[in-house]
Amino acid sequence: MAVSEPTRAEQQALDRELMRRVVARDEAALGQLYDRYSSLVYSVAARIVRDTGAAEEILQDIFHQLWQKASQFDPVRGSLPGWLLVAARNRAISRLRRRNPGDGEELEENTVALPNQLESAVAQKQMLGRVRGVMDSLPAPQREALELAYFEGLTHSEIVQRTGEPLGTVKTRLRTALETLKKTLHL
Amino acid sequence: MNGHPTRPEDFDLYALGALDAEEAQAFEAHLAACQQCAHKAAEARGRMALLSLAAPLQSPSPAVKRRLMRQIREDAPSSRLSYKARSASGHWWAFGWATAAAALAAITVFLWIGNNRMRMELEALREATRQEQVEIQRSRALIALLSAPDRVDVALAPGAEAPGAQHVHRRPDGFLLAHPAQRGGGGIVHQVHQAAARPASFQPVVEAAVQLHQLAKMLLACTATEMRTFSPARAHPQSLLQHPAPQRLFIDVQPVFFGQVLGSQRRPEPSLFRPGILLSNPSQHLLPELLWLGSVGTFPRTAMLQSLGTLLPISPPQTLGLPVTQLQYLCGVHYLQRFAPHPPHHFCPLQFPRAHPCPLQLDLLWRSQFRGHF
Repeated sequence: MAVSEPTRAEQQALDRELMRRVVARDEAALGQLYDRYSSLVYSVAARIVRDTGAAEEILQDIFHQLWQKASQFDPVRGSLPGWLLVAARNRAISRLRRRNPGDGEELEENTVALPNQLESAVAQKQMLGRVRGVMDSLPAPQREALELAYFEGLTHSEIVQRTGEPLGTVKTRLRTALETLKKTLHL
Repeated sequence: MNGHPTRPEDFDLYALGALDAEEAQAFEAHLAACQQCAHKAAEARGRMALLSLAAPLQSPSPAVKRRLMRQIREDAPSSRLSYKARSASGHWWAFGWATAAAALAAITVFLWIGNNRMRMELEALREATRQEQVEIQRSRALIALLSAPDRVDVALAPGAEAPGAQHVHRRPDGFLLAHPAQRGGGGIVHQVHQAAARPASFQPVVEAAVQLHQLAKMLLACTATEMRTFSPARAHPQSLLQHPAPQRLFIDVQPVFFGQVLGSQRRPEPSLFRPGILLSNPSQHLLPELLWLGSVGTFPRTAMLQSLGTLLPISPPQTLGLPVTQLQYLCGVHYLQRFAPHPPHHFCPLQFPRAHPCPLQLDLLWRSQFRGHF
């Protein structure tokens, strides 16, 4: 008999249970959460800072913060992988720009509700493939603009400075890229 | 911003962080006042978070997890309990576990205390043994010093030394230097000095004297072909000057040391003189940072150091090793006592023997005085 993949609701319930145990200072639960999401967090950080050691530090910092402030996490407001991804991006960009990441404000402010399931390894791989597929399908200038905005945290004006393209062109490229992303992924 | 954002992508651009500061502030001001747009902005943040997945998937090193787990254990070891232990607190057998744990803890503490006491006793024994070994070494050194001849004369092989040359025997922490103090009559009197690169390398008086003597013997073993002992009576400078044997080298082992001058901004002059105080660097070409500090007279040590501070721009003068200055001062006192009727006009290692060839007596006097202390 084939074992079916747990539903998203079941995966989220597992996350909630693990977080409850983390709040109760259960180290094993933190270890399980780390096993579930460390690759995602590390991949984002490594893509942004492009430095293995720095990415590992960010990864460790984020899970350490999760351990310290787990009680502040509200699963009703958002999903755990959503928070982890946003925290990883913010911390990595802060490091890239040598800014203080503002430790302590992220658990509440960075809580987001992901529109898609990322709570299992299978779901992560499926979603990775879809997002990568969309990114690869974008024209190079659009993809570049989107990556500069997301992975380097640049604003419109900063992208203009970086690429030398007119402001209107940059804005159009970003808007078009986002529209394509949303349509293709059915977001 | 006036009214709601006109295009759906506006929320995505805001969530992406692509809006410039002014636009972002206006957007946030609207979100604060509009619940409907705030909800859309929250959805947009979720969509934009998915862009993280455009990063190539990589796995971190397993060491990161180990570091993380170690870090959280170090956070609050006293307040940490395992989840299972906490879950078990409501069971009837929790009391049994607690009792067993308490007993185990008591045994552990008892064993730890016992182990600690044994370790301390062992440490004390080791320290006592070490002290005894130091005492034995010190006693041996003292015996070697007291039984050592007062003077050794060495005849070098012909041609082994050019007149006026300096003999140098290098050691890891400095060198032994013999420079010609007197010549004439076919004989050359050498003064032998021990120099060290660091004040810490200088030894206390007894060890230093023994070491100096032993080093002198090493030097002799390297260069001498003949050794014989003079009696004190025959060690008078005049007898040395009239010594008939050619190519004679008389090595006079003196407890004279070089003191290191720390923080000096300029090189010391080859010789500086002030009544009662001598500063010189006869080995300037070998170790320019070394300076010889000598005192002649009944200067208290503190006064000597103060005078030293006025001679050279060094601060503080206490950087000179204490054993060195004590030994130098001792020599100075004995020298003055011995030659009080005819005090020297000046005191310089290169000119000293010509004015008063006293290193021989100085050495003998010092050693006899030294014996008197024991």
